Amino acid sequence: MKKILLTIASLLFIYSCNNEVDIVNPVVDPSNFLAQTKPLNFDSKLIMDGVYEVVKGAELLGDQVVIKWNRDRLSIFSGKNGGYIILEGGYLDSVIFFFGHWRYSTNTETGAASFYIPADEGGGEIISGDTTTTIRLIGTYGFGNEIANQPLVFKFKREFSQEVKQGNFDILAHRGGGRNSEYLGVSENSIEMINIAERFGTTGVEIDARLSKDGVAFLYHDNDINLRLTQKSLIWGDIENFTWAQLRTLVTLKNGEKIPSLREALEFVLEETNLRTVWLDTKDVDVLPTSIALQQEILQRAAQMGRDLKIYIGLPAQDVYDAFVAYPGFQDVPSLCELSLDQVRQANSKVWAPRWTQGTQTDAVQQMHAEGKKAFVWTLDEPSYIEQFVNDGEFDGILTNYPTILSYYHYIK
Amino acid sequence: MKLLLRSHLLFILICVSTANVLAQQFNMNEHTFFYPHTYYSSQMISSLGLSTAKLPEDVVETDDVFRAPLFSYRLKYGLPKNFVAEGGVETNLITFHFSAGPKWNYQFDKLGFSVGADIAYWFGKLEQFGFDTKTSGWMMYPNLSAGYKFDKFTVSVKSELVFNLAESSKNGESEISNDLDFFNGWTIGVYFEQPLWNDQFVVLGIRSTFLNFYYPMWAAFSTFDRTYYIPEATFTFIL
Repeated sequence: MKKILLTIASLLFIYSCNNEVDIVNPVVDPSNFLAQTKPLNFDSKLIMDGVYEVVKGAELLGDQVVIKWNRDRLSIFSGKNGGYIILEGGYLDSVIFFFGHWRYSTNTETGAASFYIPADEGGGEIISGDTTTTIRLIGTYGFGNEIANQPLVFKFKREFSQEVKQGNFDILAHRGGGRNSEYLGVSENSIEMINIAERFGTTGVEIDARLSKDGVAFLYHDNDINLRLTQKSLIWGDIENFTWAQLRTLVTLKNGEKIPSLREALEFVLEETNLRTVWLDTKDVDVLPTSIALQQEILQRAAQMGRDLKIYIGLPAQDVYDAFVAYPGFQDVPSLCELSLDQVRQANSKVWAPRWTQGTQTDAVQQMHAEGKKAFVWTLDEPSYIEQFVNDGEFDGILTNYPTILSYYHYIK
Repeated sequence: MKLLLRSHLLFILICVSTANVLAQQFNMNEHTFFYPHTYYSSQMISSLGLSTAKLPEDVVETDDVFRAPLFSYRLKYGLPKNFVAEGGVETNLITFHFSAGPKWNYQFDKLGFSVGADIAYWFGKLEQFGFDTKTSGWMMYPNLSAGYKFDKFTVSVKSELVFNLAESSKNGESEISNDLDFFNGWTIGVYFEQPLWNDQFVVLGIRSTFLNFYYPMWAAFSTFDRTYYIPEATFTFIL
């Protein structure tokens, strides 16, 4: 018995050891140079969108990249290791300057990056809003906190294809923009994560809704309060056993944020972002009436603002589905059903969302399209499959933990 | 590295200090599997084991301790000139891993050494829970073992390099060949073999794996390009 106990104790000791990931935060624009620049206007930003040739720096990002402005940043997506660059920019005289960082999606390599567009390499035309195809971004990158001294040059290659420009394909980011395990510096299912989601090319977010003991809907993925999602706190156990006041005051998310209520999250999406789709995953069947009420309110406000926003109530499992179809007027509630095609029809869901591991299922997707419904697929992260689903599939959107990789393959289409 | 030394030394200390002092004398070369003793021609020893691993929290998104039980059956067959052929199968029901390879063993009194290489084919299949998935791959494991034979037990250390030779998967009608790094990582294990009752020997082992791709968790389709420390514990009967 003693031997067994000692052996078990040693195994528990060994198993208590965790994999730790260190990631640096590169120093960006240390002299605060951007403060001296003026922001580009919307039309100028649009001119820059396109596919670019990597003239120098292919060892970092491959031989071509996608460049696209989002709400407040210039994002660059590549096909190598899911590499991307996120930059802030502004112009001074006739030159445009950018400062930011690069990162590989699938690992933790990162570093600083900075660029400029000279006046005679497209800078002048972009600033004045004149279309040009002779854009050249000249810059450097570094590793970690090293000085950015490796050359990186991009040259405009082509605009996005008509198929891409005219399509309405949704790049959907998991858990508000990314999981904690991506080490993005902000926590999954937080307002802060939703705030940066568009920088990854995202057009929509999936968020997880639960209900507190006193009936407040909030964002959180797991059943319990745990160290994967939160910092050490005074309360522990099943999260549904705590009131909203307790959760709000006593629980801190992994990167220091407060748990957001569902109202706060949806209002943020509506008022502060250009996101057009919200996949509201139902993690707790009891949250359904509250989610639906909030969905209706936010959609009404969106309509009043002239904002094209879709919010879908997620139906991921049979119990949620049963509760949904028992809800009065469920046929008029925009929903997204992960179950069978028949259940999609019976719930009058707007979207069918199968797991990606069943393949592209083109026949089923076409059936849904013929019935006026959309089809999203979840949660697809493998770059080769992302490429295949984008090129061979007919889905209207893909949910992924790597929206940067999906953005690259979508925009080079 | 400190973690590795700490965990393995602790395990050895505990096992050695609690060795069954009442055990009778045995010809260890007849009863041990991991201890790299020499085999006489056509000598055969097999083992039946169960291992469990703590999978990376990043991948499985849970901090459960015991995960991924893996059953194994392995067999060693003595060949002339100190060569040994080893083969085996591991399974967690949705994954099968077949491996085989030669080893050359050398025994110097109570010390035993072994050097070898295994080649492995593995496949997995899952057609439930929204999966319509098949996956398979080839791997190679060059390995090195050393062991010491005490009167009533043996302690052996085995280390191996892990190389990915190929991997492909099919989901529904979509099929790809994955571009995994050739060098996957390495492992080191400590195995303690002693009689449990009469001449029935058992093996307690811990293995530290430092791998990018851990084949038993293929269904997670992890895309992290990171080397994970995945500790395994094994309990094996020598047949």
